[in-house]
Amino acid sequence: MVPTVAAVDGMALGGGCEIIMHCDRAVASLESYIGLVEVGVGLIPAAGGCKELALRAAGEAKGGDLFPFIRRYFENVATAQVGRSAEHARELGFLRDRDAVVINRFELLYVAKQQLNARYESGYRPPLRAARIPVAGRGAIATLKMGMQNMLAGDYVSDHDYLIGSKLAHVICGGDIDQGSLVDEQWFLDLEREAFIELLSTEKTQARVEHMLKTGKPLRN
Amino acid sequence: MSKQVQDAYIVAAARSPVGKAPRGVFRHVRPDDLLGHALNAAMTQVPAVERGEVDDVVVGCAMPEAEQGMNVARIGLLLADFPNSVSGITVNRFCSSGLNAVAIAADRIRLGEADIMIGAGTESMSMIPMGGNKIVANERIFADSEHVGIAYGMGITAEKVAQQWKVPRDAQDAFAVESHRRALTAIETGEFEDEIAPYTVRDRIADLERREIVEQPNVVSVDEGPRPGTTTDVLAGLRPVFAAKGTVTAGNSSQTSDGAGAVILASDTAIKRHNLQPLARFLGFAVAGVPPEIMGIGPKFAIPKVLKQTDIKLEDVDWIELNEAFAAQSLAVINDLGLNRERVNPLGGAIALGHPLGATGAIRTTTLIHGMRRRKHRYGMVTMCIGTGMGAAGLFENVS
Repeated sequence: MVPTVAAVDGMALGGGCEIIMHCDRAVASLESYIGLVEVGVGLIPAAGGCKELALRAAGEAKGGDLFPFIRRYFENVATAQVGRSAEHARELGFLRDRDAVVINRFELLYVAKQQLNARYESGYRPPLRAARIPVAGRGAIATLKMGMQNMLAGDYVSDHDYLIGSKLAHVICGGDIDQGSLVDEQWFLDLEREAFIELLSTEKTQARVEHMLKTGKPLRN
Repeated sequence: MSKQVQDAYIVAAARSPVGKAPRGVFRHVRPDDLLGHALNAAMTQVPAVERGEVDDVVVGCAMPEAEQGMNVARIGLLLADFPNSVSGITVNRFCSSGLNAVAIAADRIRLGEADIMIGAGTESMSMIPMGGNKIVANERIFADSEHVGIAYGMGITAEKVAQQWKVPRDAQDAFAVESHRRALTAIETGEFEDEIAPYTVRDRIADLERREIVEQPNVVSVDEGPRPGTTTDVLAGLRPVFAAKGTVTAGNSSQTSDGAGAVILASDTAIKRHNLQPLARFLGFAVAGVPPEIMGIGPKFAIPKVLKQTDIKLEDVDWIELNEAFAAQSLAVINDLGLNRERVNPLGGAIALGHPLGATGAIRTTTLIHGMRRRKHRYGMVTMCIGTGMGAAGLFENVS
């Protein structure tokens, strides 16, 4: 029963970001660059990143209309937004209000340890897995697709971008079910994995991955 | 082919000025108040008619929600001090709503079931954006490629028309420049003075120094959209807004606007009873459907449909108010039907004058009626394209 605290300095992209999002606390130095950038290699976050954003959106909506919150997270991931600083990452929703930002990076580990000790001493218990998460659902998927269709028709995105965006919308909205349907965390994790495998089996995603490994730069295809 | 029992005549037509949205003169003016203003202005043109004699008020509104929701027709007329006995209905066919309202009002009379009707339109695009406050798409739109056009924004449909009908950028920009030129000339020569009822805007702001509310009255009497200095050089510098390599820009598209218009219609009986001066006879109205992804071409099919219905020849129509949703679709329609450019929008169009969606039909009917009277034209038309792929056209005969 020990708390987990992520100490972040510099780049935390994709999987790094997902680890941060699952820790009880994050402590990030101001010069941190945090984001979910999987679409750059033709994939979507599939280690709980989508799940965590959907969960946060549901919490923020407080039982009201979930769509504006989901749309914001969808757009961040679909356009591979990276925080230009730790505070910007907080604005983007990758860091939470309870996460700490330190200006001096040499104090990072010190603050992280303090946080860890404080959490432990105050009787830390890990949260239960959320079991009743309302989803944005199939109407939200269609509405997000509507926006992407216009970008596709306007030649701002490619067919493959549209496919990736559609898969992301599908996952983050909880799949082809009614708005407000209740699901658990595993539901999202299953959707993530399914979409990830589907995308990875396409030639264009494989080309993006290969290109990134060889050149370090994203391929637009 | 008409089986009407009596004719419907327009006996009054008035409108508010059109403001720019979302940051124009009417940004804080509610659409129900704009509607009430237009209704009152039209009523003052026929002082012999008691308000209580109006059978029904049909109001077009394209995004009937929030400030213009809850049946804006009824709320607007009650706040404009019509008696409780006068009823109201809001109708929506997007950009043709205002014209459709006039047609529905006329039909109640033509059927012999009413003697005095009002057809109107109101829209605040400052308060309710295009698409409304919340869009939720039906996922079946994407089930096959056939329905995907429903998802397209109007700009994309304009790009598709520009491509398919081969309307180049420079032609679109030149068309837009001409729209501004005509509108500015019309304002200078007072062409809109008969139809516009000036609106006094009373913006209320907090004066933090004096700790009190300051009310700033501002009389608006001209359309805000027409822009002096609009040249092809200026427009050529604008970037396409809907497609990466497109030709449709903010400069060759209609403006988003706020405004309202109202037209009073009466039967022969009512005209005789009140000794009214009819301005125009309502001849007919038609709507036609086209693929949603090329909605801008709609008038190409609505115009022949209404001409056939009324047995009137295109060359006999002296004045055509063709809503300039986009220069691209306007030119495609004009070229395909061989419309005379001089007769289309002689006082400018929506690119200069603005396009408050559901109000436009009523506003442009008002422009047409007064314009035909001044120029002694006989037949005039109001036509427009409609989102999700339709076109509408209404035909009027000057009898003033």
